[in-house]
Amino acid sequence: MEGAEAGSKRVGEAAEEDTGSAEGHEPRGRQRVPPSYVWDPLPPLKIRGARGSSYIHVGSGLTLSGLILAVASYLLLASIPLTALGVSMTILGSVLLALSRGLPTLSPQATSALMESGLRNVSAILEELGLSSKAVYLSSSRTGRDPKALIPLRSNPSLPKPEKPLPERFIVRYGAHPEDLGVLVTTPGSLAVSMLDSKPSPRATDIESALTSLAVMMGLADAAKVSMSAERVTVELSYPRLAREELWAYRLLGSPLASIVASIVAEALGKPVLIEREEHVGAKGIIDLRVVD
Amino acid sequence: MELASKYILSLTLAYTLTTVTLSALSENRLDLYISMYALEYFVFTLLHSPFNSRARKALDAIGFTLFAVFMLVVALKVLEILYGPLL
Repeated sequence: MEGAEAGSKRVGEAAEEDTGSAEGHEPRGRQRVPPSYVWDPLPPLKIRGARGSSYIHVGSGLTLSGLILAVASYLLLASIPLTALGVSMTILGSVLLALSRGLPTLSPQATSALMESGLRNVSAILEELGLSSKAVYLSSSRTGRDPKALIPLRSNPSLPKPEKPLPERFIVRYGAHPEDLGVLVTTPGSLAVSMLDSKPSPRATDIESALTSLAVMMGLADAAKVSMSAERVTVELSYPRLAREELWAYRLLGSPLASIVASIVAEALGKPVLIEREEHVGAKGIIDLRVVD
Repeated sequence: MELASKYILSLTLAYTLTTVTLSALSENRLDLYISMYALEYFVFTLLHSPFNSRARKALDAIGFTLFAVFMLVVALKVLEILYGPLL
């Protein structure tokens, strides 16, 4: 009831505001927007995973049956092997319950459909804007929250090297010159970096272990090998599992896998990074990055 | 096959083999079974890492429990050696 009353009050207030503006105090087309219509960021999407719940059901069943079997076998049957069997069932059930917490909530097909539709939309926007310069991956220290990719609006000979942190907007100014404008986009790498426990240090071994753990955890590749020089970073991925498509976004941002690699390297080095080359040789994916400094 | 499925399958296989082998050898020491399970748990968890942070926290909790049980088994064995059979 209280909710309904509050709702009707809000509608009433909105109507009053509308009436007030319609009475001639404000010109048409400049009416005040009622507070209830003001855009509010949506809370994160929560999806209940069918796979996680099946792990929970099997895990709970196994843990409970294991406990009953262990206690009954020890106290009533006095059988050590059966008690041990009960203990092993309990451990396996607990492991299933533990794993259910980390399972993806969506199936790979649904995730792939969501990612592809997002990338196709980004491709369409970038193509319509007529952007053709390759993206420069920036660390979170230069973009605010997550590492992002900056696509310059004009193909300048010099690559963007923003000194100050950029505002969290779509179109940003990154330099003092009038042509220093670019589009700041969130990439798959921006979100993948947040899955790491801590920011990797700029050493090759640390970047390698961060990339390997992320690639294995996300099921994107089996391992990563990193070789570094002052201006170049080469990452070799074993058995990469994300295919590259012919999308405009991929031309500018690189494939999702390359984007993840570039974001992590940029974050670790704290410097802008550009994807120079990306190729598949047999079961290996090679990604060449240039450090913009 | 994904990582979690591989891990569960390997652990189940290892526990089955341990239980069958030790019971076939007429082993009647429960502490031996539990020690073997704990050892296998740590080995297979390490081999199939990394898991994501939420799963890893829960797996760490199981690991701590198994380690505590294992330490209890060891402590009881030491006491048994020092002071003779306890039970």
